[in-house]
Amino acid sequence: MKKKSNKDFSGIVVCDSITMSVKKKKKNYRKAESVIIAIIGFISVIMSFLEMFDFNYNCYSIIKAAIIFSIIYILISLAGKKSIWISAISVIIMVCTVYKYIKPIIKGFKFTYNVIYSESTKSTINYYKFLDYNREKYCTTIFFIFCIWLLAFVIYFFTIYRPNFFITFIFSFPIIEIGLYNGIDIPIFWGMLTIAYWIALLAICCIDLGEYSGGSGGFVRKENFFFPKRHMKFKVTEKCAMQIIISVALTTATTLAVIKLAGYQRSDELNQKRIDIKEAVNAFSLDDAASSISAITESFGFTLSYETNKLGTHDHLKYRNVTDIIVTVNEKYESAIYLKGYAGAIYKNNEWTGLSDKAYSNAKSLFNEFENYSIYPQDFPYIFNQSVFSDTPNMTIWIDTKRKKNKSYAPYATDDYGDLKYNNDTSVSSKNNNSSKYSYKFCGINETNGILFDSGTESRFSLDDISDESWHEKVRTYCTEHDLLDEYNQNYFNGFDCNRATNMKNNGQLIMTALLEKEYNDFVYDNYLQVPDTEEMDEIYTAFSDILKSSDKTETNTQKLQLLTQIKDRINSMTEYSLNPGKTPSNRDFINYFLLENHKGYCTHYASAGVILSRMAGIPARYATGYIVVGDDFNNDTLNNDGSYTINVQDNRSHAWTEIYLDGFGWVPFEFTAGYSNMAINTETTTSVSTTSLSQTETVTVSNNTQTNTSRSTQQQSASKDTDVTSTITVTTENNSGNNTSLVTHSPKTLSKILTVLSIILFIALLIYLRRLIILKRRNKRFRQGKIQQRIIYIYEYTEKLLRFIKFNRGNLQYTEFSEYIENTLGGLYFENGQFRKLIEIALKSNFDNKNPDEKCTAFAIEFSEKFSKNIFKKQNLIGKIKMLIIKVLI
Amino acid sequence: MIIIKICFLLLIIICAIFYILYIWNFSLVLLVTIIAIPIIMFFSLLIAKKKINVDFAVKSHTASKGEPFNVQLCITNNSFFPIGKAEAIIEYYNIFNTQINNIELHFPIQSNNSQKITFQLSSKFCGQLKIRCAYITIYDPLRIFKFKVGKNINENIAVLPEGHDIYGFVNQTNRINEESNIFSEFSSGDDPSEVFDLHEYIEGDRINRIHWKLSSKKDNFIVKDYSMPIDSPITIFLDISYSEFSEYTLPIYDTLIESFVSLSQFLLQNERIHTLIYYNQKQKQFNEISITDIDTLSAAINNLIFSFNDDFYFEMPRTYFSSCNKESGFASFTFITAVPDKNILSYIDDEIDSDVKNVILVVKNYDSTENISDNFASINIMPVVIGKISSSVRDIEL
Repeated sequence: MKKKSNKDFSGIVVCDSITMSVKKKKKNYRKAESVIIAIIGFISVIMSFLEMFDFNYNCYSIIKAAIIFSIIYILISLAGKKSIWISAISVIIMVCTVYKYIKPIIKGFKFTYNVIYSESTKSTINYYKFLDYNREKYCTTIFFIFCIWLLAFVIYFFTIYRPNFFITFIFSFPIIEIGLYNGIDIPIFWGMLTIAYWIALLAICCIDLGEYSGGSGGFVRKENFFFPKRHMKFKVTEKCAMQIIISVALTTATTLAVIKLAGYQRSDELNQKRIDIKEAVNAFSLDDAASSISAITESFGFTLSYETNKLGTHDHLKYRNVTDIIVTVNEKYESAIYLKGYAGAIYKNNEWTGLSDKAYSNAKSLFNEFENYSIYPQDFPYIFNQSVFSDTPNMTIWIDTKRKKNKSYAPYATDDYGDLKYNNDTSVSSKNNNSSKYSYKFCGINETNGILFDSGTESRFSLDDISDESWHEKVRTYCTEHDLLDEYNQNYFNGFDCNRATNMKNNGQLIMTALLEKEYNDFVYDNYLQVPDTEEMDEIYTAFSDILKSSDKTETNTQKLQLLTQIKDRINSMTEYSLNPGKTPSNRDFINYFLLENHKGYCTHYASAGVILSRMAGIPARYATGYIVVGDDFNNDTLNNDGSYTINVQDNRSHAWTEIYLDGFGWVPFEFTAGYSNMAINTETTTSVSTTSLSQTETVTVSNNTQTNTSRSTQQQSASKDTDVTSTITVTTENNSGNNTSLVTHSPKTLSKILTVLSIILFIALLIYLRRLIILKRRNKRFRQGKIQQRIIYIYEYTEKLLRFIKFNRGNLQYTEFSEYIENTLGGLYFENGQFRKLIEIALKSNFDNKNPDEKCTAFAIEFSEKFSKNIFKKQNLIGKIKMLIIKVLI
Repeated sequence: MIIIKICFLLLIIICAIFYILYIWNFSLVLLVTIIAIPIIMFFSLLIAKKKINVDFAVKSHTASKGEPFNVQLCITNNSFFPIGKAEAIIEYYNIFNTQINNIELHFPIQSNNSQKITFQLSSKFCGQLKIRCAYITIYDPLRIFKFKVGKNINENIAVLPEGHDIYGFVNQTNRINEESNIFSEFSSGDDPSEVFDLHEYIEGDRINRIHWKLSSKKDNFIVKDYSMPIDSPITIFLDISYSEFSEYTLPIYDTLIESFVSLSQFLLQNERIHTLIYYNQKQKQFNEISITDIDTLSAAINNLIFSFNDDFYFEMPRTYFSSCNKESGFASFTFITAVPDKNILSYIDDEIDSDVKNVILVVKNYDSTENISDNFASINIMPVVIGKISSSVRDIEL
């Protein structure tokens, strides 16, 4: 409350007495209204609860108890302070009764809880056992009567006598919440009445907030603030509350009508979202709170884009089958495209991290050379591949990171045409950071491409052979700086020769790439062979020792790949692909636990194990994450008219894989994950995963996946034999079925929509008509029935309304002044001169004189008002007429 | 308000989440209702806002000093929707003082009805009371939304000054307006143009006053009493150029005006027509009002009080003196001021041609006038301490 800070020198004093008076004296229905609100609350809470569950109780006794307690507590609450002691006595009686009937009450509670439990869990299992079911009805009834008694006391007392939203809400909400929490269908009528009651009570509390109780009416002063007392007769608090109840009722009725007429059904998407939220909430883990929160927000549809490479913190992986990114490839590719977003180099404490800054700063000169010669390790595969397959056309990929706005993904072997940003030696991204859509040129490669460079040998090159002058100069500079030029003939130097490359000795860029690769190779072997020096790693090494010991013989890329294949086969033989592998215990190593104990995992497990085992075999490797697009994704469904393919890459295509370094070629992906191949993904165990925790809808999703996989494998088998005709037939059939569906389902939907709109319009029109009918009937009754004095006053008020409608307000004018004013302005136009004056005279006489006006006067007044209204109506435009007829109902 | 809005927004969010999690139609109906309720509240409040008229009503625009008077705030709600909570900020102040006070009225507004909230004010000081309804805030039942209605509705009330008894005498003067035909009703004089009364000869009556014609008819000497002209140039100059705003401002203005009223009443009691000169702030000029009886005095007070503006701009008395006709003399000249400006006093002393010159100087206390009182030979300086007119104005010669 504001306080006056300054001393008052004004000499003006405001007296404490403030009065309020109204023009039209209306009957005070405040108490009646508050009783109605309380009754609505009381009945709706009880009925909501009883109709949610199938209890065995004596209905007649409950109704009797509810009526008796209602009457008692309504009377107590209406009496106010005078009957406080009766309330106290009733509480004592209640306690005594509870004491007397404590056993049946407790049993009644147990029976009630058993019903709630069995209906919530949809089973016949009882929570409380060994109960005597012969007494169920009696005990439940006694328990309910006690509850109703308590509820009646709280609701009536805190609604009528001392309105308090919080107390009533705290008492009544749990009764409803029991059903809502357990997913029981609450009767909408009673449920919404309860809501209406709560909001109405909240409104009462809000209106009376900060006001003072006590006294029967008037205002109370607090410094310079004047508040109406709570029981002031002119207050409209309960009327406002009733207004809210009516609003809620109307909204509910309208919504229900729309639901019924439109045949509303919850969408599958919504049900899926519900399951996602439940899943995310259930999977919440304090160990990894950040990603748990991220998962919850994502389940609501808000991406926090929090990603961590911490491993083993989730017990299962759940795909929502939503599109994460959209890729468009200009031509079909019969292999897998790995879209890399991240590459981890160091494995420590069950987490993948990048190489330290120190490692890069130690190799600063090397990375400066990459920058100077504009050839980076990420470019090696593309340049080497092009040297062998110079005729192979480049592919272009357009990536739209739909749900991963802040992330960037790129394929391997990208061509640098000036728009690439190199993130050290790990990944590339588009220079255009602001856009979520970008494109790359690349050539399709896989690990087998590296084999081609096995036979490369140390060779002698001549600078004179390099035809391109700029590369000639660059190679010379590089050779000079690294002292590679022949001591005797400065035009010659030793380099690495890719035997399969055509015209390598003329190709300055290729020679330069080979020279840089040779230098980078040392960096790779220094940094990407690290394995944590722990017992867990030793155990892994021991388990794979038979394969790893042969790694000494792996000199060529072919041998390396053979060794890696052996490792992969071993991993696959000892593990099982599962999306539900469980969490890694916090004191355990993630890879060790996966390979040697749990034997279950998904791509993250396989990729991590693959990296460590590759390194143990002396093959540099990194852990990469991103998305995978397999050969089967290039099908007729994704084919565009221009021959390109647009593929919606869903979250189930997010992937982790191992990338290995092949000498003389560069980094290439190597797939360790079971079920993943270049053409298809077939992780059959997916169907057996987490079915226990899935609900109906999830089961449907899984079965869809199975169907898709089956069709894919069928397609795969017959891929070579399928003719265009077959595929066309398939497409046609699909289209037909699609069209049929649209014909069958859309027409009634449209019709039902039209019907809905029409029904709403009809409903509104009916409401308007009913309102008009009621007002006219009421007015007619008031004009023609009852005491003449009262009738004259009604007629005069109606005439004033008419005058207000044409913007003539009496304001603070005296009646005689007003009549003169109206006569002068409207006399002769809307009525004959002198008639309004006569009406006012009749009205004043009937109000102030003891003599009652006769019927003639009344007849004149009615005739005048009707003629007046007709004349006003005639002179209105269309909007005015509508307003007069429908909104104001003046005629 | 903002907390309630946030709470309701949270409630909508909770209902939206509940809608996702609870598969039955109840959740949808609940969500729609919770969204619809504020919308309904908003529009019903908007309709009510458009249908509410606010006005002030006072029975009389004048009030006596210290007596309470009624002010009515009239609110008419022509809409169907009642307003559970409305807050009116009523500001009030005396125009002589910049200090604005206010009261806050909380009340309900009934639907389809007119209501009057009557409150009483009283002022210790005379002046112009301005009462303003700054605004009335109306709230919806859940207090989510609010609108302001009835902004800047004003009412002015003049609180009339009281006259005090003063002790003095009216100087008989030769400076009479010869063209005037206003004579005393109670006293006889020497103006032969008007016979005041006739009476039988008493020893000592002047012989030339005998009405011979009438005496011959009555067989007795009838003597004529001549009338006494009362239209003498008596002027009261009320200087309102007091610009200091402090706790004394109102008492000083009150004393200034009441000093004038008291002098004027005294002169009327002594049948002296006189003239009031003051600066009219509304007209931005000096006004001269002739006061002939109690009605003209009452009208003059009303005019004086309602002549003040909020900007409180005034011209200094020297402006008037520089423009007025210096040759016309006064029978009596009384200058009422609260600003002891020596230049003005010197001017009055030297330049004003008057039989009697008085300066009524309203002061906070007697100490304030010590340096001034003896410097002006022809002026009778009379310090009046605020609120003590009767005791201060003694033996004044007018």
